Amino acid sequence: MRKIRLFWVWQSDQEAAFLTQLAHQGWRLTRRRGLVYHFAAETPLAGRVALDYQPKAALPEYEALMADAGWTLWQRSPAFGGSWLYWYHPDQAARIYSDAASQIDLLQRMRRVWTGFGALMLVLEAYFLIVLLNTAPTPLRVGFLVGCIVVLAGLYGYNAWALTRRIQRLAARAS
Amino acid sequence: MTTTDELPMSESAFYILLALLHPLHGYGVIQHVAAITADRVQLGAGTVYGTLKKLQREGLIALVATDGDRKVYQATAAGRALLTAERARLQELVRNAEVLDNAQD
Repeated sequence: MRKIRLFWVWQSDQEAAFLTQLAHQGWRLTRRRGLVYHFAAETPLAGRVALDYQPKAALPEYEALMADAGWTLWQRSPAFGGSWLYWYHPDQAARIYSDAASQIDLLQRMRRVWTGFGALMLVLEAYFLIVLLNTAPTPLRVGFLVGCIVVLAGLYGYNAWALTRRIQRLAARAS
Repeated sequence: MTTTDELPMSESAFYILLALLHPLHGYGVIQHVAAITADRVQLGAGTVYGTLKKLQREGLIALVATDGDRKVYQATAAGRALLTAERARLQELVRNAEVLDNAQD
């Protein structure tokens, strides 16, 4: 069974809720490739799916600790030198991050990696734009490139803002 | 950076460092803290992992053994000093809160 969904970085909680709901209906995530989620039929599960982002491709100590604590790794998706990790725990109340400080760390990690990449892409596109303006600018080409810049800045900017808002809410509650 | 710059400690960080007065690996910390708080404090594995890395970076704990992929840590002298300072702060808090016993309705 496959489902196609688009979850942005700032929607990681919604993604986890979506996968948890399917697990309760008896669908276990087996693979995620881009926007395509693959599921296998199983008896309905009672636990919960949680997502984590770790900045290294493999972290044996972290994975051993998660396994000791009862988490099963359902899927690992590489992203920018690190990985999104899709974890499942049979206890609904289980949390990967149990306090505000560590949840904030995760959000800051995500914000740093994605905003860094977004900034890099913007610099590259600005460079291309300058080259284009100096060589063979046509309204179509310039318009297309400016459009790309606007969309990219919008997406990565919104991501940074949405993650910052979540960080501020957590920090306010904790203090 | 003096010890008092790092106070107050969060409850999770305090309990993790306290647990490491004896050598423990990550899951051992989770189990120990749950036991001494009658299951009130259930530390997340991600929280413990992140805190262990941070405490190690700050020299408050040290790696003492490896067991396959599991690493065993223990508090250093600096870690113990921080715990002592935090305990003093908490004792002052509790002492001052005893006015609750004398408070009028």
